[in-house]
Order: sequence, then structure tokens, then C-alpha cells
Amino acid sequence: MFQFTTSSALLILLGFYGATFLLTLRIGKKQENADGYMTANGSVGYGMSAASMTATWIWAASFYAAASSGYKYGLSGAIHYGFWGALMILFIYPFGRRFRKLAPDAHTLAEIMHARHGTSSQMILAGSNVVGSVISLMVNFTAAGALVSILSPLSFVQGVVIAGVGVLSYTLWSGFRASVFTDFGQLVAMILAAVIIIPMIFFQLGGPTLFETGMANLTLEQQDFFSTTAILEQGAPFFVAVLAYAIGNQTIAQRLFAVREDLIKSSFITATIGYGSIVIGLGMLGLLALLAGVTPIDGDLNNLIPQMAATYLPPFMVAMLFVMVIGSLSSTADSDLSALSAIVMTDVYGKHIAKNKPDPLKMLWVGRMTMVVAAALGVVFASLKLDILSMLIFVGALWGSIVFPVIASLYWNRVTNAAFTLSVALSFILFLVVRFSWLPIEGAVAVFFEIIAAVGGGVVIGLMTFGFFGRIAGLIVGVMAASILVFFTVGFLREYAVLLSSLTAYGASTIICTLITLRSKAPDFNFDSINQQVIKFHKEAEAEAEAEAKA
Amino acid sequence: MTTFGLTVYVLIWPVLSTLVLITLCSALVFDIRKAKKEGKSLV
Repeated sequence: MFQFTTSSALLILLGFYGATFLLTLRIGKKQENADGYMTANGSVGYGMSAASMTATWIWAASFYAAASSGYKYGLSGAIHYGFWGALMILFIYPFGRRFRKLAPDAHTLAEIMHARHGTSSQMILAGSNVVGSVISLMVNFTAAGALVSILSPLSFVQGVVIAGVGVLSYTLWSGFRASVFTDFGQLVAMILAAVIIIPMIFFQLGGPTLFETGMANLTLEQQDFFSTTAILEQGAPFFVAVLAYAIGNQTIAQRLFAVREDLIKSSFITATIGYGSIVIGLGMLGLLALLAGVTPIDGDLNNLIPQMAATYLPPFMVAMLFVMVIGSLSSTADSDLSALSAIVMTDVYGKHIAKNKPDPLKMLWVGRMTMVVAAALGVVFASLKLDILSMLIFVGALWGSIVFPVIASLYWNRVTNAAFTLSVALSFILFLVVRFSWLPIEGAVAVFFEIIAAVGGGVVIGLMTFGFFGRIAGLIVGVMAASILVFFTVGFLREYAVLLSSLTAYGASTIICTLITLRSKAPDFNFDSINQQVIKFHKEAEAEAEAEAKA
Repeated sequence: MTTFGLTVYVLIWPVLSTLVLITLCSALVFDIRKAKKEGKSLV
């Protein structure tokens, strides 16, 4: 298999990170302001925001997992990864518009929850995002280490350190503005590589004749475009997981707060098509490998894409693939650094330490120090190959549990802090019971969870309908979907623990949140008060300075 | 699915990606011109 020499691998990496760093010098300001550092002042245009949304949503694992899915499930495999991921970008935008309407100057979703409910709900969101983003950093740096060690004589740890230092170097000074600005170039590199690599490998493998010669390598299930196995093992669990990610993750929320308000819809529709076409396209490499009878090195499906590229492409194209993967993982890693800094700046320093009156300069340095610590943690966890990936299960479950309470809290003025917190906590515990079989999932216990999961399925479908067609349509479709699903889940879903537990989190949180809210006698919440509490920090600081000068 | 259909199924994604790339680059050029005209930063 082809390998770069040490010097050429270093040249590519230094060239990539050096060029990215030089790009950020074009937008760097001697005096950054805190709001620009976190959300680019909510004024990013269409091209930049659509590109940034796409680049952030695509991480290194998107390529590997899409190709693995194509290899494992055949014809429909890539679709069951890329299509659902893309759909969730589309799904989030109606809710994003609502977030922006309620709090035009927000920096984090946790900040809005603080204004709506108070500290506990804010900290559920902020805490889960801190853990989630550190894990994401670790995963992306791990992917860099793995790629570097496969395609060059450099070691895994050297690859991890280069990626960590490289990403930090260009994100540190200008924060989110640098992240968005560099996402564009990184996405262009990714698209160019995908556009050239996919057809090249296809024709290298024989072009259309590959389908005639290779179809025998597929099982009947893999040849079925509507494979039930692919839907139940890949499509449905991924769909449910990625929905939670879209609502709960700060990297997505941050882009919602950054794009110009009138451009949210167009940006997110473009990102939906962009993500779908790139990721499904690269997932096709897995299908092509299956048709060509390629066996992944060491039986590890993550090796499929580098292996296909190194076997069937000339060195220049392998370099393009190298840049594509490094670009994808860097764009996600810089988003995680920006997300973490925004959370610590806003939800820890701004809201709790400075009590909404932060010192802007100190706030910026809090953000920068957060980035340094987070990048160091990501590098250390990746280098030591610590098994913290399993924590992603907990973060995913927590985000699954918050989807309904977060959305309900921002549309329904009767939802209370107790309803939010208790529903999240209890549904999270129920998730754990199913996911880790704390109780034997059989008999009446299994039926209980399968009914809750049917409600969860109805919630997912109902919320999607609600986002686009309003409350009545959402309620009708959600109730109908849950009523139909119950006939399919009972006696069946117990065999699919991942899907059952995820849907349990959605269903349980919805039932508990709704029941507590309906029983509450608390006064209705005034949504206008959110805008009074969620403010631009630099304007606040300027106003105070002016007042002091006058005095 | 026919061989032709499968070929389209594999190759349609790079085509769509190209269209997205063209759209994004055009939008960026528009944004750069607008930012220059207004004397503002792009981000």
C-alpha cells in the first residue's frame, strides 16, 4: 500500500495548517470583542454559514462510518448514514428561527435555558456539551493520528499532536470567527476531493461492469434497497441519535446564532444538500469495496477509505484524500474549541461569576484559556487511547432526553423548571435501565419500555411535523405515529437495545414533562423576558463604560 | 436496479456536490463584494 515519506507527510500537514493560519490573519483583530469571538455578532452571510454548517456536521467519522455502512449493508448502507444526518440539518432550522426570535443576542442554548428556567437546566445543557465536545476533540485527533500512521512513517501520537497544535494555532485568537472563516476553505477541499476521488475509484474498479461482476459478492439482504436490517441496525438508531445531537450540541446552536437571521433557512437547506451529497458519495466507496471484494486491513472497516485510496489512486490523489480527512476533522475540532470557549465564557464566567456584567477583556482570555485546556485534554486522551468513547453513549442519551423539554420550553409557556429537570433526569435513568439491561428486558418490563419507545417514535415524527407545519399538525401526526408504532414495537423492539433505549429517552421525557407541566399551577412564563436577560456582552460593557465616564 | 441505474446512483453524489460547491463559491463572491462595499468584515 502507498505511503508518503516523513518529509512529504510533514509538508502536507504544515502546508495545510500553515495556510489555514495565514487565512485567519486576514480577519484577525488586535482587539476582538466577546460577542464576535462567540457568534461573529450574528451577522454571517449565506455562503460562509452554509459552508460552516456543512463542514462542522461532517467529521472524520462521517466518512469512515458512511463507508463502513455501505460495506456492511450494501446498496442502502450509505443512504442510511448520510441521508438521516442531512435530514437533521433541515429539521433544526425551524426551531433555530424560534431560538433567534426569542433571543437574538444569544451565545449558547444553555444561556437561553438559564433565562427560561434557571441554573439546573442551563447546567444540564452546558455540562453535557463540555463532555461531548472534549470527546469529539479526542475522536477527531485520534482520526488524525490513525490516518497519519497509516499513510506515513510518522507515529500515531505525532499525528495527534500535530492536529491538536495545528487546530489550536488558528482558532485561538479569533475564536468562532476563525472557525467559520476557515470552514469555507476546508469544505472546498473536502468537496473537491470527493468530486474527484469517487468517480476515479469507480472507473479504476471497472466502472459500470463492476455491478455485473461484483453483485455476486452481495448477500440478498445487501442487494435489497429497502433492507430491514439496514433500517433497524443503522438507519433508525442513527436517525434518533443524530436528532438529539442536532438539538443538544452547541456547535450547531452556535451557527444558528451566528448566521444572519433572514438567511437561516437558505443556509440550512444548502447545508442539508451539501452534507448529504458529500457523505453519501463517500459512503459509496464502501459499496464499491464490497462489490470489488476488497477486505479491510486488519478487519477494521475504518481502514476502508484510506485503503481504497492508497490502492487505487495515484500519490497526488492520495494527498488530496489526506487533506480532505484532515480538513474534515479540523473543521469539527475548531468548532468544538469554539463551542467550549463560548460555554465557559457565557454560562460559567458571564452568568455565574460576573453575574451578567463581565469584563470583556477577561472574558476573551477565559475563552482562550478554555481552548488551550480543551485542546490539551483532547490530545492527551487521544494519545493515551483512553476509552472514553463509551461516555458518548451517556451524552447522546442526555441529549435524547432534552429534545422534547427544550423545544417545549421555548414554545409552551407553562413548562416549569421542575418539569424540565425531572423529565430529563428520570428519562435518562430509564435509558440506562434499558441500555445496560439493569432489569431483564422481557415480559411486562419489555412491553412497558416498548410502549414508551412507541411514544418516543411518535415524538420524533411529531416534532418534525410541528417544526414545519405547526402545533395541530404535529400533535395529530405524533399521536397517530405513536398509535401505529405501538403495534410494531411491542414484542419486537426488545431485540434492538440501542434503538429501544434511545426511543425510551424521547418517550419518557415527553410523558413526564407533559404530565408535570399540566399539573403545575405556576404562572405562565413571559417569553419576552428571555430577550431582556440574554444580552450582547460587549454592548453591556460599552454602556457601563459610558455611564462611568459621564459620572 | 439496472446497471445504468446503479451507475447513476453512485455518480449522482459527486454531481450534487459540484453544484453545492458552485453555489457556495458564488455566494462567497457576492458576500465579499458586499462586505467591501459596506466596509465591513466578512465574518
